[in-house]
Amino acid sequence: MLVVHQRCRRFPKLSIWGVLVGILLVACNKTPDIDPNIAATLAEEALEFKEIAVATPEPLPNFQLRDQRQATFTPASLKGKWTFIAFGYINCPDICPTTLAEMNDLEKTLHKRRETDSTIPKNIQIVFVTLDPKRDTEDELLKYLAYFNEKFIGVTGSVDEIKKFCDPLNISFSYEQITPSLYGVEHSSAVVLIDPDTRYVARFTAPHFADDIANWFLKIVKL
Amino acid sequence: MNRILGSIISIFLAAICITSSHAANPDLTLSNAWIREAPPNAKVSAAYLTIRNTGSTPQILLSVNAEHFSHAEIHKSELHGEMARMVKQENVEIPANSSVSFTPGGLHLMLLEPATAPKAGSFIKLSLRFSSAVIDINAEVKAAQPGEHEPTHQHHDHHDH
Repeated sequence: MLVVHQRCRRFPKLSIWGVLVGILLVACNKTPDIDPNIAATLAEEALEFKEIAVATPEPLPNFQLRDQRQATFTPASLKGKWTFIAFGYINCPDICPTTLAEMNDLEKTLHKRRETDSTIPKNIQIVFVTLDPKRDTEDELLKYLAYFNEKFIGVTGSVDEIKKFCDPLNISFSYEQITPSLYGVEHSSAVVLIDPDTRYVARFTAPHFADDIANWFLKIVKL
Repeated sequence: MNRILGSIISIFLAAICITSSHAANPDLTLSNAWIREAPPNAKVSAAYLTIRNTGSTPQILLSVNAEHFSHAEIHKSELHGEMARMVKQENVEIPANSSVSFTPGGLHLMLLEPATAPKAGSFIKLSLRFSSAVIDINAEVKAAQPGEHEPTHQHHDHHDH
């Protein structure tokens, strides 16, 4: 309960949800006539939300990166939009393409649900930040991302600039030699959500499932 | 007549091929093999399959070859907390009377440096070298379907069906 109160204070937009979670937790623990299965589901959902939502969202510090079409990518690129950001590298055979396929599905899922639910925001963008700028140039990102979804924004910059962008999002990465001729990037597999005020508000950890992320996203935007 | 004879010989040869690959080790069967269609400029891709060992002794997968790729390795994607990394596997044991599945987000065959990026719908021959036999399988190249990866997330068992 302490956590919920804390979030109410620091994250005013989430206060309604915080109160709801509080009520649910109390109901699950103390009310004898609530269906135990429903109670368990609600309690699990509340706990999961606690893991996803960022307790103290703050606007991102300044950064200066570039997208795959050579345009600058700065906080202004995030302003006024809900942005999902995935991190990875082109030579990643398994996890990164899996995440990007789910992100493509997320975009299509939200688009489809918008046909019957006009409250779903249209100002959504999906960004892939390379953690391997040495190999993943703008041109390579352009070709790579077009395979998944032409609307995806690919972002690169110097390793230092990328690190500066990743730090406040708790995304860490390091390089490791996989074979004598090939290095890989060990990296955080999370997808983060930035709100239209450029605040980091939620974090989705792998494995990612488009439907689940869409459901949580719709809860977050309605707060 | 020649054509019919040719067909008969082809069928006969095909039958020999199938029999011979299985005769090498009747306990091992490979199934559900597929290769992730990679974006055109990716120098890596991954193959997935299920290896079943119906015998009473464990079998060891030692190495892999893939047509059209300069080399292939056995890898495992591991999540330590949130950190994802690939770990090269020297070999993989298929215990007696059980099967091991290679799936996105877990064990996979890492395929490196394709001659040309294989397109969805094509087939690529994988050769798996076990301690007791070499077994080939044709793997279909296809685009990954959402939700088709390791459903290990504790709260999401509805993805299992």
